[in-house]
Amino acid sequence: MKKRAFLQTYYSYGLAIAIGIGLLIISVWGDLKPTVEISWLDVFSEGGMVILALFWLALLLRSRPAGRVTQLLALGLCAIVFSWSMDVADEFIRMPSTLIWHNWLESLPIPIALVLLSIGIYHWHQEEIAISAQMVKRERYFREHRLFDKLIPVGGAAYLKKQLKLSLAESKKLQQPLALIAVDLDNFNMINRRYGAEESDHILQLICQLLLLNLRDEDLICRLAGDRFVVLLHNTSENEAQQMSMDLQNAVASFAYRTREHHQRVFLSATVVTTMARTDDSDSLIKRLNLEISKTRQQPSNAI
Amino acid sequence: MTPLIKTLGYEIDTACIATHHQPAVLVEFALSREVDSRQLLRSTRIQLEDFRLAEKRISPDQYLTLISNCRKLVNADDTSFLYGQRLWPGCFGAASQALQLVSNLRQAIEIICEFHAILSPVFTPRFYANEQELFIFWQDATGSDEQQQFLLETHMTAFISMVSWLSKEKMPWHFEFTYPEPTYIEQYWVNLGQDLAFNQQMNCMRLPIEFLDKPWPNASQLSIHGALKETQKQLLSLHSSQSFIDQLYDYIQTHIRQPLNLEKVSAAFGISPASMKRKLKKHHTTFQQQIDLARKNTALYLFQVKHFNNQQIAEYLRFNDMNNYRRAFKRWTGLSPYTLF
Repeated sequence: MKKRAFLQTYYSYGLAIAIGIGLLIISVWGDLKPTVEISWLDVFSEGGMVILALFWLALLLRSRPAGRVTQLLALGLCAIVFSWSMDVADEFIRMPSTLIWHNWLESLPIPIALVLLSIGIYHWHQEEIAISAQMVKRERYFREHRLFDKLIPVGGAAYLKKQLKLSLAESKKLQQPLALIAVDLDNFNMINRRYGAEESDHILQLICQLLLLNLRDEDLICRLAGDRFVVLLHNTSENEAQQMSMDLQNAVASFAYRTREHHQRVFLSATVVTTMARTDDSDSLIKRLNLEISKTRQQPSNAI
Repeated sequence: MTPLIKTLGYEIDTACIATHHQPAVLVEFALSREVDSRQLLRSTRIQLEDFRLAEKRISPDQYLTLISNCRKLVNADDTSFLYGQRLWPGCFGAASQALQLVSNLRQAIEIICEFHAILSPVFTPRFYANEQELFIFWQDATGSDEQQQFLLETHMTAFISMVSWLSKEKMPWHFEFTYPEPTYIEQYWVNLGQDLAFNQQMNCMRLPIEFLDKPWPNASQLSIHGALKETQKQLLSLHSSQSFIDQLYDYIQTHIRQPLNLEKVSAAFGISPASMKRKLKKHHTTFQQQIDLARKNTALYLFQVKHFNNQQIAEYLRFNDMNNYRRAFKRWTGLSPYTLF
């Protein structure tokens, strides 16, 4: 997604124009306060509020893709910024007390802003539900964006460990079996050398999608490191896990990848091992799984 | 009187690394991770243009700043490993070409050790073997300080990745590291292997000796000589084939059985003790640390290769009594010699 600079959006122009007109109106009707009458504490606290609200607005516009939810939230925040900046202007300009409407400039935008924000947040909530449904195999009721993998949109090793701790506790409590599958691509070093780093990054992204397609909604996939993925299977017996690992292996083997540049066919295969969580903790479980991979690799049938 | 060492090796601020060699590989990787090039090159005194011109050389110091920037901006545990995978044989002229033509592991190790000033200017590989095992250990060549672990991960991965690519074989390497187990241990498993030991005495890789002379496919015994000759020329065009720290280490190692002090060693290098001290400080080390390092490594070597016992090691290193030896050994390694050997 392309990030947009806040100052280049229509919201910033609109806001600048609105605040400009507001200031103009106030300065035409009112007159400047002498310096001694200005309460600097009020100026700083109200000014600080305006700056904070601007910061929220900038973050919102920078990070979210355009759309209805973004529009509602942004308009709401714009109204808040406008109203608060009129408040600041009040500190410098005295309005004749006979005028009633000048208060509107300050007070009227606030209820509008709150209504807009409320509608925006409601839709944001709906949007989150829709996105979570898509993310379910990647995060399983626990989100921590800082642990997400940089290259591939699934959790990394630290995220896997966190999830595994939760799952181990859960499976112990409910007396359900917990299975783990590790999928490790064969000869990935060669693919890397032969087709280049960009191509192999792309292969990893696609393999991850492919594995996701072959999982159930309750399962969780993480990228341990490099070309090694780990799948967490809740309430799954050893037989079921074996069957799933075979399916994953077959899925990788029958994936007909063609390189982006010369459309060469790349033949992929994976070493897949399954293990059941028994009495061990998350660290030793992951370690055991990786040892299994090394052992399976060293058997002659899997030699390079 | 020992002969005067005329040309001193490259130091942390010597412009000795071709920008289009190791730095270019790192920059290319960082850019592929959508890092802003201006931020990446900040305070490195390198411009993107320099990579295109391929003429400029930078100092280890600039290279280390580049690494530090890259680590901060890419901010992923696998940066050092992915960089390592792309590093060798690489496009470093004749040296890279020679690496691609090697016929066995021994030859690959020899090329990397002999031409490390081209292939790996900031981290020096050293090699020895006994009847059962071969050892490659890696030593910081220019005082890389905070980037040491990153560089070690990079160089070990580079070596392993290149060897498994050229030999088409998976070898049972064993790894030892001087530091404690990192939190991102999974990266070590996937990129290096499962056979790892932390909190050890050396940053070292070991392998059963039978792999050393086992022939590799795609070797080219005849054309490699041309490439090696070219690489020699390439080496001569450099500032020096060794870093200053490496030269000092080698000097101490060769004269380990003589009483050494700062004045004597400085005289052999043709510099004053004060400038020796200054040079060492620049590389984040001291004279005593270098002596201790050389003695520790010698003790380990004598134990692993010559199968000396503690008595013999103490005698070789000219310790008068075993208590002194034990105390010194404890200072070098943190352990008693009797628990280690």
